[in-house]
Amino acid sequence: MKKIILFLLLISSLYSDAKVYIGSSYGFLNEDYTNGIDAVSSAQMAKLKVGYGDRDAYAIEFSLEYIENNSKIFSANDKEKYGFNVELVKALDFDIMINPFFKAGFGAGFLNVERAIQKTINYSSFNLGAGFFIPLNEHFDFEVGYDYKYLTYEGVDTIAEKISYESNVNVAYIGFNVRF
Amino acid sequence: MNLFKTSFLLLTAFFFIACGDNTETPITADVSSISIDQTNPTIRSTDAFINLTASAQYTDGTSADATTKVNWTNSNYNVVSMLGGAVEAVANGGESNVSISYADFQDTQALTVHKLTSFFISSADINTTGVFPLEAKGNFDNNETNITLVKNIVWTANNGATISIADNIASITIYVGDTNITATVFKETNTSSPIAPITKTYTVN
Repeated sequence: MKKIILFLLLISSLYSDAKVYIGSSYGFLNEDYTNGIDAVSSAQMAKLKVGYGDRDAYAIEFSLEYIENNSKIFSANDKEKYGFNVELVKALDFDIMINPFFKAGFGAGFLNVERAIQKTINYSSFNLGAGFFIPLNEHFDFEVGYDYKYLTYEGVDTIAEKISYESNVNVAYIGFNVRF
Repeated sequence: MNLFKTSFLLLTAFFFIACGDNTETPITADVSSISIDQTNPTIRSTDAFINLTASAQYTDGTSADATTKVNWTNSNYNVVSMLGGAVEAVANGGESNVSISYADFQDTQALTVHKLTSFFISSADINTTGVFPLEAKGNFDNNETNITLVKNIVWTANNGATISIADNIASITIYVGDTNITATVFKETNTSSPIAPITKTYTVN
């Protein structure tokens, strides 16, 4: 894990114009559970992030996300999800009005549930994303993007067995970034 | 134009993603209770062991085997010993409360060990040398009679005879001469009516 983080930091630090930036985003997500599990979730999400890099090259982003929960999948009273993500962003500069980007990373999070044995279920995620920055000036830009996440949840303890669930999450979002 | 197309695609994705459904019924029923499947189980003091089983009950009315998942304990290890749900008597009679637990769930059942009241060596007569099975049968305080004793019986013999036990079955290798075979159950010294050992003599010419 340390090697991965150091590697990502090295890549981003190699770019001479790298800058620290912060941003926030808001979006909607759809979650479909895999392995024939008939369960879906649709919710709003919000994200705060801090990154280091350039909007037309590489950057590394650390983000905290909040995901609303309107579904009752793990219990009759599933709560919101809170997550943390680390992603490497590769942006491109085609001398057009936008800077397309791709990103990949991973994350982890949890949601509180009301089950007899478990009160919290943790999850990990593998993240892929794409979108574009819309620069306003040197310091500000909008961000429009799509994220795909593959979530693996901690096993649900039924005493007789621990049942693990996985899901595909599609997120569409808009955001705003401030670069220093 | 490209910006317009991209924005249109993303807004369309936004629309569809925002219009998703939500599951309203949990996909995994919650645990409502756990229980020992046998109500007030009993065991004879000389039985090999009995296997108790446990189940988890769920809010949707279903249940599942949880025998190997729950923690098993009993209140009187001087009466019975336990390994998981396997129970074996270690005393000639008595009671113990057998319990299971998992997280905040638990269940308890009273377990009775039926006392051996008398016994006898039931092996067939032996009049030649060789290897022969040994068997004893007994009567219990629940009015069961002629039950084969499997555990908590000790066999001894003289005249050079050797006794071996495999799979709870005792065998004797007997030689020429008079051989005294003694069966002893529960060497209890602190009870008012211990069961006396029984000796049987086999003669081989």
